[in-house]
Amino acid sequence: MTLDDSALIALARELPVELPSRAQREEVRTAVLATRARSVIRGSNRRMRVSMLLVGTLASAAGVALALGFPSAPAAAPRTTEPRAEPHVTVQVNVRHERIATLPSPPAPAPPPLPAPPRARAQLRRSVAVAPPPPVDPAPAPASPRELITPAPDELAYDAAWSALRAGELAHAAIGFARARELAPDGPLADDAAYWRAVALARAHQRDEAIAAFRTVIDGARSVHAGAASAMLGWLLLDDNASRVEAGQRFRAAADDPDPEVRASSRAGLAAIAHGDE
Amino acid sequence: MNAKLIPLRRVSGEVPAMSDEALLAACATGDAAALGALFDRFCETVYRFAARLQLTDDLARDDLVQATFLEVCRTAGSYRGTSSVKTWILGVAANVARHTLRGERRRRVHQARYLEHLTAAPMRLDDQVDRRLLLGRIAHALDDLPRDQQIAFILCDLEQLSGVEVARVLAIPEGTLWRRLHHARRAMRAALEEQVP
Repeated sequence: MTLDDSALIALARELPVELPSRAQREEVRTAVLATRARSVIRGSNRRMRVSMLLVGTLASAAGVALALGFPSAPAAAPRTTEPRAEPHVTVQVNVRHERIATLPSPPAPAPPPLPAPPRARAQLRRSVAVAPPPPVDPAPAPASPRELITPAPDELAYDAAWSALRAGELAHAAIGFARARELAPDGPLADDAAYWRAVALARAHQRDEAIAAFRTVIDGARSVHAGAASAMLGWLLLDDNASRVEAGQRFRAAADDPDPEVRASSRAGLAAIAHGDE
Repeated sequence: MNAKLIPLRRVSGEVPAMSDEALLAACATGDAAALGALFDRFCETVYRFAARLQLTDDLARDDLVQATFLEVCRTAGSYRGTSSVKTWILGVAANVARHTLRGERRRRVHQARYLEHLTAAPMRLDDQVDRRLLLGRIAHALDDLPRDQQIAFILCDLEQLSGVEVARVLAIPEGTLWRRLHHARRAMRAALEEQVP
């Protein structure tokens, strides 16, 4: 049998080519975007966690206020002790412009459930989803892209602390966040770690330590959590009549926060102070 | 609460209306939406390329596609417009394949499965049987090629990309590409002639 080039090529072009299903393709697409976005998204992921836990934490704070007889923030937690339809908090990640989680907001004053960390979503397609791209010419690449990832120590510590926080191991979480911050004081996670350490301490009812930790966050250079930390600090300070003036200052400092939940909590805090002053 | 959680920017302009080059340029600036659009446009091309490489399994194929687009994103800034975006992306895929798919033993295993798949149709006493067997032999011959020749054959003859552009994206002299292509074709013809009495 003799074939010329064109006949050979024509035959070879007839070889069946199995293409992936739409679902497989979407899975890979999501993994690509999640991996690519990871470096960009890292801080944003943390902020999403912040926002989600903030809702819960503010709910706890509102619960404290409620226990003290103060009205709580309308957006932060259930306002009354009467049964009511459970509101939902929707978190949207734009990796594929789709809604990926709808989480019930927690009842006050019980510690709220924490949202699933976004990374779990990013890793929906096994470990290769978080692998950086393999190098191309001229350096030889590793055998498989899934072997490439090695999280930084601060990231490992942070994730462990986050898991501890989710599991309710608040002391471990606080230590872990402190460790993450120590490992990379100027790293991208340092600000988040400082804030979450304070949250963990607050939820562990280590009031003085939590107050100090929140002050550290607020005093930090342009912390993205300054508003939330200020509101939370306000609620902690409100426990102590001697600190009501400062609590008011903290609430007012958070009154213009971009986050509506923080603003609402701040308003509720100020209302609580006004109510107590009457 | 939603808006501030969205970390990925939209490319300016309507993505469907943007040229491949514009998308790649946007991708070079870190625009994830542009990367998504590029993926949508070219994933089938890369999947087809991966399928023709006769990878071990779906996992290896997905890995190649994923690694290719991550590499596309990482190196988008190096695109100089000397080839079409499609050729450039396939060049990236070829480079990724050369580096990451060195398991020749795995290829052998997969080859057997692939050929079995090709010849698994019910026997019918007509020309389709002969044609199917012939395709099986071609697949066998293609799989037997050294990886560089295989890539040259797939890109130039099967994807019908410009040889000049392929040589450019593979960073090899044009003469080298033609030599690989020549050897690939000759080896495939020889393999077919050997197997046919």
